[in-house]
Amino acid sequence: MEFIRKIVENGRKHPERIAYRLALAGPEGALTWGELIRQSGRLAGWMEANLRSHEPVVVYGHKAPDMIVSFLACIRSGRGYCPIDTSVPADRARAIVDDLQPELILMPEASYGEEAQTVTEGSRTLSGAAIREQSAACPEEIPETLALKPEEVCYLIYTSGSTGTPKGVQITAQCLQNFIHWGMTLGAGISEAEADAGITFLNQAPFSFDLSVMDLYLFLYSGGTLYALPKSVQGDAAALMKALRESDVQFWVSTPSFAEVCLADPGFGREAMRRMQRFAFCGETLPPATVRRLMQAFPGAEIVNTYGPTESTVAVTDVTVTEDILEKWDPLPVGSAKPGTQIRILGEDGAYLPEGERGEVIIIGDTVSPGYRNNPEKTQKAFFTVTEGGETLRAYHTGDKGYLLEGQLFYCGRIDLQIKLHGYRIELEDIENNLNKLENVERAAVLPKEKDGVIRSLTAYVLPVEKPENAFAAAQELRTQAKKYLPDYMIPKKIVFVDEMPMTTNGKVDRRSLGQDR
Amino acid sequence: MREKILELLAEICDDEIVLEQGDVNLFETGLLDSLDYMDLLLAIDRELGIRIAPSELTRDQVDTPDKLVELVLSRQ
Repeated sequence: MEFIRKIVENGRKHPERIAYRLALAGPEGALTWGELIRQSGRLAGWMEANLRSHEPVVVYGHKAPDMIVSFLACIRSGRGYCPIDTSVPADRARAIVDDLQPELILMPEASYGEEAQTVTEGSRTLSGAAIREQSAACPEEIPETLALKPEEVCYLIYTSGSTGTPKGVQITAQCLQNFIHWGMTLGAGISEAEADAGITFLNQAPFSFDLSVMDLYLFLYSGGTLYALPKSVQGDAAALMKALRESDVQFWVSTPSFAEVCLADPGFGREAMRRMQRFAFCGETLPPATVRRLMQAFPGAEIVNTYGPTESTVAVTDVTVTEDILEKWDPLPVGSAKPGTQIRILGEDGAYLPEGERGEVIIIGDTVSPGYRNNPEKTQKAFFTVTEGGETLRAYHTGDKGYLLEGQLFYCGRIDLQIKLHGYRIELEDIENNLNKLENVERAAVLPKEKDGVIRSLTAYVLPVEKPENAFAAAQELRTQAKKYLPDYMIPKKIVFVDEMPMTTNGKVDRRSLGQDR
Repeated sequence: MREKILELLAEICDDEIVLEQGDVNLFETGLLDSLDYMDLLLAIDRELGIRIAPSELTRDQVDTPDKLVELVLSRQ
């Protein structure tokens, strides 16, 4: 694959330009390009010598530089990988490991909490310093012919599933390559001269959230630097501002929510980040007010809005939001389809709709996943193929509502109950199914709470088995218990105990009346 | 003044518990998330004219209603 070859060349062929440059930087440690390529070559060699299969490997950790070494070692040795962030609760991470049955779990962090035991028990692991020690004797050169082939799975990312079991989205090496080639053209694009000078990208998202694929592979492909922000720094305003000042980031990739958190600090702006050139957003609605504030704080910087589901490799539409666009549209468009992708809007009767009409967003093209791992039923429901001019293309039902106008796509929200909260995709039934597992919960219904048209938090309406005496204390107890099953971002902020659950005639929880009455 | 601050806090938390329990931890309980926290600082600026930048303080300086009130009063 061209992109794998180019990444390896970045660390080798231009020693004077790139090899001594930092590939990875930030509070969790640094690594030069030369080291990145040598270490990943050795680890790839170790896997070739020690593993029987070429099935996907799990990479479990947070933001350690060796996370990237591990990803590269996998793709260079012809293996896909599945990143699992340590913030994913143990039971959920365990469900992923059980689905994947990996031959190996790489654990690049220096230390792990107790929950890692639950996640990795029964699996072969290679952890911390042992990764380097074990692979030290392996040659740093690995034959190029071993690397992933176009239709092989490059990475797997598990998304929220409505049964409470996560679904593994498989992205092929060809999908990723098509995405990278387009990603390099976002905004005014990355010129060869800029790439040679070295661009520093911001990594905010955990690697198990596919927004991270944008900064990760654009930095790797362009030969730049990735400045990774760990969760602990993101949650501490003073440490965050200090890190951003030090980062010298030029290419920003985050959810709009994260930029809004940064904008609340008066110190966030051109003074602190002199070379900021481009903001790329994905994962949730980009409010015009956020764009205006960014334009003010960073005069001259480009602001790019993008849209796409994990099932079609990060993003498939883009628009550079200028003053003209701000003046013309509210809400903002998410952009026009990238080359190789077609967007169509499907009506309820199964026919494609004309411009301006709202329906389900269908994505057809060269970055659509071949489907969910070990899940033919769900794959068949969401994916199909289209044959055009003798070419068969993959297509995906996004479940998103939207419309097209003047070639621009506008996003209106989820058709089903899947929502986006702070950039995370969440299926409300997934949370409900997990809350229903708790001892004092007879039945739970979870509703998104909006503020100024944006989903801000989740409220759970719970019919308790036994009515609690102290509702606040009982609500806190439930939130604590729920952490056993759900990641932090899926824990309802507020829990309201109800005397009875309103029902529709179909016997389903009547969400509308729950949201209105209270 | 004290009442005004607690009123703003109760409105943003959407919970009266902050009026009743001055030592409840605002962050651990989910009463305030990071966006709410920013909203709260903005509301204090807008309604009371007291400007506090998020990077000036650590969260544990304002993690209960009592501490928040004390801090805002000290900035008057």
